[in-house]
Amino acid sequence: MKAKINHHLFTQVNLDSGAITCAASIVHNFAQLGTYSGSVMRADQRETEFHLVVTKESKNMQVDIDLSEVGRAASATDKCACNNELQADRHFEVNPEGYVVFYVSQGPGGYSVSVTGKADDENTVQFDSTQLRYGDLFIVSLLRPGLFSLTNTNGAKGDLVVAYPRRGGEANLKNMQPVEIRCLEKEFVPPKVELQVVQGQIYRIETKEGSRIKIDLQRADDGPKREPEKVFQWRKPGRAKQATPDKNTNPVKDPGLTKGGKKSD
Amino acid sequence: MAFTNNCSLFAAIDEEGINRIVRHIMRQRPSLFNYGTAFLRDHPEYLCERIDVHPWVTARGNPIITVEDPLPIIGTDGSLGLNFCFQLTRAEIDFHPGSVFDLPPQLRPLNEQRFAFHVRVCGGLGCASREFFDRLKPREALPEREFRKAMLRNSQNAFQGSSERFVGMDSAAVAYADTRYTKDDREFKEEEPKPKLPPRPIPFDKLDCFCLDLFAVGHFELTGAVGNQRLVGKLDGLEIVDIQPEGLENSIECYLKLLIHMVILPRLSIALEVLVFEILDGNATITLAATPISATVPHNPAIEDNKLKIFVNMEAS
Amino acid sequence: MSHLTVAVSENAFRELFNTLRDNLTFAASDSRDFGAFSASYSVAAHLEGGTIDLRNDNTVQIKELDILWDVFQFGIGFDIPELCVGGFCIIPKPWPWSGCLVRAPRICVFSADPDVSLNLDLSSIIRSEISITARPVIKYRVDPGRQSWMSDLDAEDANVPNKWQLFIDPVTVDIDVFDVADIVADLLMDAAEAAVNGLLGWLPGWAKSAILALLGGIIDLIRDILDIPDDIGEWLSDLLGVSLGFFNTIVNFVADYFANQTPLFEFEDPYPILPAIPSIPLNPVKLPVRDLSLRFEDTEMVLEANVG
Repeated sequence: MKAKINHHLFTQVNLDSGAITCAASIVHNFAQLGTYSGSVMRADQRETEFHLVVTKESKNMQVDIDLSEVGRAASATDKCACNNELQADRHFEVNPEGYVVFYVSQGPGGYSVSVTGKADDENTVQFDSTQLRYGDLFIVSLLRPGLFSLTNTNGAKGDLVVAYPRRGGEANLKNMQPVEIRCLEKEFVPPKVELQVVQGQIYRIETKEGSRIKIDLQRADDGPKREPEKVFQWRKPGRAKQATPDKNTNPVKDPGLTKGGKKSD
Repeated sequence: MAFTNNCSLFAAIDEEGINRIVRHIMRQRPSLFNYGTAFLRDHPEYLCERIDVHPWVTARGNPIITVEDPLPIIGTDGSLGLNFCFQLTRAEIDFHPGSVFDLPPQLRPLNEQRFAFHVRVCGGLGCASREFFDRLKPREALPEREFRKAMLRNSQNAFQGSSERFVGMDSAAVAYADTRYTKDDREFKEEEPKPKLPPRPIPFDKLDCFCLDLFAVGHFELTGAVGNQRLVGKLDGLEIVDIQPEGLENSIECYLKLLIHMVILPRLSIALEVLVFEILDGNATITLAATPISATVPHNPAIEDNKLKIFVNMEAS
Repeated sequence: MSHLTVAVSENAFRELFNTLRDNLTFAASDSRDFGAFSASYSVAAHLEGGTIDLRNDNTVQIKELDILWDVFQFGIGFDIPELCVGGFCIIPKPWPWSGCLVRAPRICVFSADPDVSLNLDLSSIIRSEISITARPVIKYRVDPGRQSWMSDLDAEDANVPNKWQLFIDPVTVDIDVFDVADIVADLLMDAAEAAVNGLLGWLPGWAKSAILALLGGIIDLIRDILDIPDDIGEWLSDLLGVSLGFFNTIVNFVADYFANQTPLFEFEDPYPILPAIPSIPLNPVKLPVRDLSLRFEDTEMVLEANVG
């Protein structure tokens, strides 16, 4: 089977919690019981909408809503007062102690989410992903090696260094624990984080005002420069099959030795 | 002890085997053992012994005898001759120490590394018929040149008009005679020097045949350069049984010795590779060569234990 | 007692066998699907070297025949498994429970499991030897092209003479794959990297590096997919020999080559001992050979026959 590569993972280097793209997601807890409507926005345009019911009867502790494909999300329930199948695909239920995860699985992304509605207790509920609140999480995985700047709309700044993957170091990428970064009123804690590619980052929002986290590439790391290998070979006369030089032999002293193992005429 | 302790290839054949081979050769190549005039080639029913030939021989038009000129009559300047045949009708070989046949006392005992050879030789002359003699006029006392003319005229007269009545008078002979005479004056014409033609055979009624038992002893040698070596037989001695007087016996023996030595044995030589079934023929880098004589191989070829043995070495090029 | 005896020393037999060996060329190809992956090979080989030991139990032992691979292309095809970013735990379950309450979504690099084909040139990688124990076998071959009306001479003229053929009929043929060079691991890795690089096409180097890193190391990945143990050489031998039946194919070919296809040597029957002389004309003198037998003894091969 020939597969298509999700190239947006590699082209969208800069990430913005207010414009979610691949490899980034937002986690929010809707604690108040009720029925809400959500809008998926891109460039100030409404793309689509969905319904979210927060009920104790739901066993869903995590609902993933793929903003690039709302309507076919896996966790959409089949129990809804929907008029048609399309609506059913846009209907989600979650336990008030659970979390809704907004993410983008494919495509260029750039989505934001706005959820509004009146809770059962008559309180007005509003969630805007462009202004994350205390308790929200911004989840990121960076693939591009390099130096990134980390900024929040409240003025907090930080640095991220994503290391170029080392050959042979692949084993370290397995079972890597995500890095947790606190987003405080005026700072990130820790302010500088060193990461491996694709290592998870969890930005925990702890600000009273709305936060919008931006991660921008400042200096790319394209890895070590590859220089052509200098191969020196030496073969004992009359023993053509001997592939490796004798450890005790200093090949430099051989006046006929050249790069690539060729003897000069 | 292994056969090849001192060589790469070894070949041996016993008496029974080689005698079968001889019989196959006699049947498949009878012209090597049977000689006679052209007339006898065309009329083999007059031969002394019927020749047993393999069907291939006649099917493929092979000669059953080797044609020789008629035996010239002395004094006819080679112009007249007798039909004759000479046949080796039976041949058998006995290797040392000998068990196939008894040798005459003159050749006994069969020495080491020697083979004995027995052949039955039959021969016959096509002597002129009585009618032919009757037609010949009495001999006249004439000078030599005149006598020859008269003799030729005489014999021509004897031939004249009667060629079909005499056995042994072929059309070629008549045509030849006509070139020597004019039909009008029957005058003898002196010939211009030209290649000598074979004698004209005199007609005969039947061959007067005789058979002799000939015994010989010999040895084998490997001759030729490496890569082209052949096994050939060499004659050491020959004896004809029951023939008198001694001078005649010696003369015939001498003649047969030369015949066997110069004609028959060389033509029976067999290439070294053939002796070992050409086993290594497919290998271009290998040349076969007879194993040199040494303390371990004192005779090569060797004749012992009623067998002929050959030792061969490989030589890599 | 036979009329004719021809003995061939062990040295001469070696020359005979060398000719036979040098004419052997082997070519085969096959492929098989093993579910998780597919494997294929395309090979051409010939034999060199070898030691000959004639034995007095009427067998010949040919050992240490090197199989020289003129071509040995080995291919593996497999799907790279789903490769995704994320999936790590964001919020663990509160005490007293354990486990993860919320996980990061997994974003996949590929839309499906992509195909990867690795082609390795193993011609200088696999060193193997073949050993044969064989018995002599004599066959009398009547050429199928020979017509019933043909005499032996006609058959010779038409190049379809009867023949005595002497084969060595293998009793055992063993292939010993005694060395798969360690470099095979590097070859496999290089080929895998090249394949993945090809698959990733336009992506910049850092992206490829990132993906390769995500794949957890090509060798580890391939090891997982292909179920390769620590010793790649052993795995390769096993795959070729057992799973693909490759060495079995060679064994069968070699056995058939020696036993049926190519005689150690052959000669016409009847056997020509004096050549033809067409100018006279004279037929060749040919000798009917009967009761041919062949045996191996301690230091020589002995051929016996009777004259028919």
